[in-house]
Amino acid sequence: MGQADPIAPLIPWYANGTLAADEREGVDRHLPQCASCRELLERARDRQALGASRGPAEMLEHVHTRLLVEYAERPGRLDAELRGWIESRLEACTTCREAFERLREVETQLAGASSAAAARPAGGAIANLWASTRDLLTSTLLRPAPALAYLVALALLLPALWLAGRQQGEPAGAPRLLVAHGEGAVRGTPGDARPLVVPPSEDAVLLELRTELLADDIDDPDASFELELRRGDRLLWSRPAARDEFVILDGRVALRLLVYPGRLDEGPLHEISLSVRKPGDPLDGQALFRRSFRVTEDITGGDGRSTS
Amino acid sequence: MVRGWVHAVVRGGNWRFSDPEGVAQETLLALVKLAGSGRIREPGGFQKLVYTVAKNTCVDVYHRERRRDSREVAEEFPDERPGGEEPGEELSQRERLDRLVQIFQRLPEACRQLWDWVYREGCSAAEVANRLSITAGNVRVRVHRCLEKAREIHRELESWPVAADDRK
Repeated sequence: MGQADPIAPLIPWYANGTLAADEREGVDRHLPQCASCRELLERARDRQALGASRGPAEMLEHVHTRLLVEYAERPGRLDAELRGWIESRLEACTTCREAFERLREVETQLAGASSAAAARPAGGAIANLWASTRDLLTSTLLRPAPALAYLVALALLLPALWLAGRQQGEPAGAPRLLVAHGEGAVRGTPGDARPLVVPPSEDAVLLELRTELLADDIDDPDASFELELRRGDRLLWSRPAARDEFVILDGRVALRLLVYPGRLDEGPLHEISLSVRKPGDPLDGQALFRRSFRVTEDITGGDGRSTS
Repeated sequence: MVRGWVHAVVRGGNWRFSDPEGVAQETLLALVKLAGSGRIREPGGFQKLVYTVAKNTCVDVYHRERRRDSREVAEEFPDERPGGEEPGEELSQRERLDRLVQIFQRLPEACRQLWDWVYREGCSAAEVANRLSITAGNVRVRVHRCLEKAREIHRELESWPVAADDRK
């Protein structure tokens, strides 16, 4: 059915039998040669069947499962009228409200599990390798080639790492958590200009990058995110940041990152940044988060907001 | 690993299912069905998809168990199947009606009203025009636009889960 099909607007009235005789004959002649209108008619009859068995009050009695889950996951994606209707149902309907509350509990627990996974203690090289393998497998589950390549590399590396671990001993205890508030391009918040101080004596520190982004800001499916670590102008490494690495803390997007001070140069300024990749968008390549830090025992340049 | 994700949802929401393992199995079956239909294409969002499918299943089962508890099964799900119809046809019919409920709920209020008048009450364009104090031609245009909107929603629902992650 093209938009200019003059018969299509008649189908609902043809289906409910209220069309004038001459128009009905026109539809009768048109239907055998138009698959789209036949499909429209089939749907119209479905709607009539539904109308016969359930009135609007019944159809609107409970928020449909998928709609409820969508609302629990990302309410901002739904338009205001639909959100308003769902909220009115949640107030009026105990069943919907209880299901929604359970969904929220699940969301909270999943977010907690995600944070806990991000904050997992550094159990040495082998444990870290396993964690990164697991994360990689998660993202490559449906792409056998990279997963296989990674497994082969892992099989070759594991014996060497096991030996290295035996020689050096395993670092004990959870890594120190350093909270890093930063500046970013989206909201233009100035952030904290002072470099964060990362003690070189720590085996590992968990940098908690607190951005000014809201959950909706990272929802854009066309956008991807990239983490970069630089020392001065030199790029030390960069890698994509998967969405499931993000957690929501105090209503803002945060990301936790393990940093090993012993692998970084003591003294020079380092910068960790999170940038967005979205070709054609003004924000493409912009840093959504940026914070400098220095591996040093000197605490005069730190923001003092670290916790163990 | 996938089972772990499913269990995180099934056991993580104080659902108090009578058979949590059955719910997990139902979720896994739904995932297998989705995979079989070739609609899982984005590996990056796979974990999120598993969570969403598990949450959908949990809410469905939660509603089912509540209905069973309150002995409303017979009232809410009367056997609408005419005698002799195959179970497969009944399922298909139920799925189509379920899809229509989803579409109906997502339509703007004005379209829901038109839908009710046209399909449930069987009003003619002139009768609707009289209620709205507009012309019959205008009514046909409005109904047609609502149907376009319904088609758009239908397409989005059909392409789930891929479109659910792709659209803004």
